[in-house]
Amino acid sequence: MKSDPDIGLVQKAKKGNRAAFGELVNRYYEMVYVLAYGVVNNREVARDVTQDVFIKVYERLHKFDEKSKFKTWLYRVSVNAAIDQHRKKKPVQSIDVTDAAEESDRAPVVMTDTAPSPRDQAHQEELKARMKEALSKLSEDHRAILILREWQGLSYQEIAESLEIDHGTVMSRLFYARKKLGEVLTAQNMNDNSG
Amino acid sequence: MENDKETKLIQKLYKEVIQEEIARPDFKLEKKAFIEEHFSRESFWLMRPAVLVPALSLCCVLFLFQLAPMKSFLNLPSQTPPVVDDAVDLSAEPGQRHVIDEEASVEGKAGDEPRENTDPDVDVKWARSEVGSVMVYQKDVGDVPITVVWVFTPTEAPGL
Repeated sequence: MKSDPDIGLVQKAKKGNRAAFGELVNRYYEMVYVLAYGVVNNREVARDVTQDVFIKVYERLHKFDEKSKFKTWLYRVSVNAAIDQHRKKKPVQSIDVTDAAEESDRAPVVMTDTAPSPRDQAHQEELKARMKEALSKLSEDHRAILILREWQGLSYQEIAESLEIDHGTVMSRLFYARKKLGEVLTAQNMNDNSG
Repeated sequence: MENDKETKLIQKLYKEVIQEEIARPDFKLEKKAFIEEHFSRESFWLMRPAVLVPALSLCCVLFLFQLAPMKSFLNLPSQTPPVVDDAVDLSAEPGQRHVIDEEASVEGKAGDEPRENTDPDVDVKWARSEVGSVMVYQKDVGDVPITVVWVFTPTEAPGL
């Protein structure tokens, strides 16, 4: 493992230095928020999850054994907290593919007529709104993996460590998350065209 | 090719949606407020509310205890005969300025050196009143104002 750039602050925070932990919060607040938002897809809930995560992490910092990077540990805690929170508040609303469906071999989805025109701001906004809606229809697991890969830019290995799943599951889950997102966006587009 | 284009478009849209979310002006305020509330710079341990409030309360109690001797002294004249000295100068005419004994003229000093006429060490040699034979003043100590009356009565003083 490469040296952890956060280890100094972590050790100070473990000794009770709140300001040192405040620096870690300052570094990773956006990251945790985005992870939470990516999973729960709700601004207020994401904020609550983010702040809960940091408070709990500070309280349980002594449990961090420093075998992995602090950031990786924080990813794991954040994603789990967000998934737990989302499941608690919104039982099941996704129409996501199941693990069995992930194994199926579907035809590639082709999106049509969704390319944003730089001249058309309204169209761009509409696309973003569709994206938000499409994301809301994914499962928490798929949203989590999308955010880690597409936004955080983590490698498959890092995602596997963060989510404590194996490398193959990362690949398949990511593939089907993207595919499902494409399907939902396409379906939205078709509905609009037919309407 | 179509798939690549579509994937890139989805990625782009996705990033824009997320970017918008953390670019909100109130997002930074929320972050700052959270850090300040929970993880701001370590204040000196004595200045933390959990320590400071009890400490100040203790100081107040100790201060009141410090005032207790003064309070009992100030109550003294009403309970015991007044201190009378044979050198009391009652010859002053109204309006004429007289020098009064320091202990009597300065309230604060009176409390600094409590004197009881039963104390054999007390030996007032000389006292004068600038306001006549009776001097009344009031002092607020704690919740109860104390009225102190000094009566200079040389004719009743023993030994005169």
